[in-house]
Amino acid sequence: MMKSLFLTLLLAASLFSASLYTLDNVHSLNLYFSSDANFITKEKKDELKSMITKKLEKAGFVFGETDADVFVVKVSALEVEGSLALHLEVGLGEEVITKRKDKIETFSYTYLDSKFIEGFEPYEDTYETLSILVDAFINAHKDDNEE
Amino acid sequence: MKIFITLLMTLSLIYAADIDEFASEVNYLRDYKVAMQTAKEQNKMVMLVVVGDYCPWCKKFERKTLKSSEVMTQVNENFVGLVIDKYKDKENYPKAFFSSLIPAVFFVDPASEKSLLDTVAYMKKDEFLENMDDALSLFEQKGQ
Repeated sequence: MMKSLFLTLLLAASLFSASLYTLDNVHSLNLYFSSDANFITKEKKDELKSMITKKLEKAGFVFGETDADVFVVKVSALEVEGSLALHLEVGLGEEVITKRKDKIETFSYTYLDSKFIEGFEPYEDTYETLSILVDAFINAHKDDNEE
Repeated sequence: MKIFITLLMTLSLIYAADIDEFASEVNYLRDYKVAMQTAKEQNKMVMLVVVGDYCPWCKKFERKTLKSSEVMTQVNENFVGLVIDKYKDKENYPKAFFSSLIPAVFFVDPASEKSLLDTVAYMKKDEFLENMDDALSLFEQKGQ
């Protein structure tokens, strides 16, 4: 019973690890963190940035190199009738050459994922959800880069 | 309105060029009837790939799976590759292959023009190669 459950979970995880983006050869990153939420103080912001950086470094990404791709993290908060709605987004931004006439170069998102949640415990919910979004990025990257 | 129509025509030309470019890169045909005829002559199956210019999973399937050297070798040795756009080529292929989900791949027996095996959705290279082997086995069994 446990074995089949484990295998099902493993299969589900591998099926859903792929993303529609192509993350081949993404290696060096710069972290850009943006938030308009009042509950994210400077200390909390540093804590979130540290959690994200550690996860990405553990997965093999390198920070601090010149012309690195930008790992964007955005937290938006909106109070609606006493409830706090949170929109959390992670993305990969980079310079790309488009297929437009004259092969125009532009900054573009080449990975984007987001979640819209209600923040009962705003900071904890933000921390947990960002952690899930970063894991999803790492899995998608792994899926694209394995032989 | 005139500008909109011109823009739409330009865009459809660009997308048409995209699918033709892909077909040329992987050595696939673009014409259903020609593919069936070629397959009959060479005693091979047709590997019919249905994609859409609006479909990011189709693009990824083309880039990561169909353009991989292993899949390209397998197609060129044992299949007649055919790629069609689900909507733009609608008038030029049988309704039986009008898949609601894309990317879709039909392994078609050219004698009966029926699919012996089909796959739907993005698939990684290794998994797709296994499907190609299964399709070949079915085709061989049918020929015996």
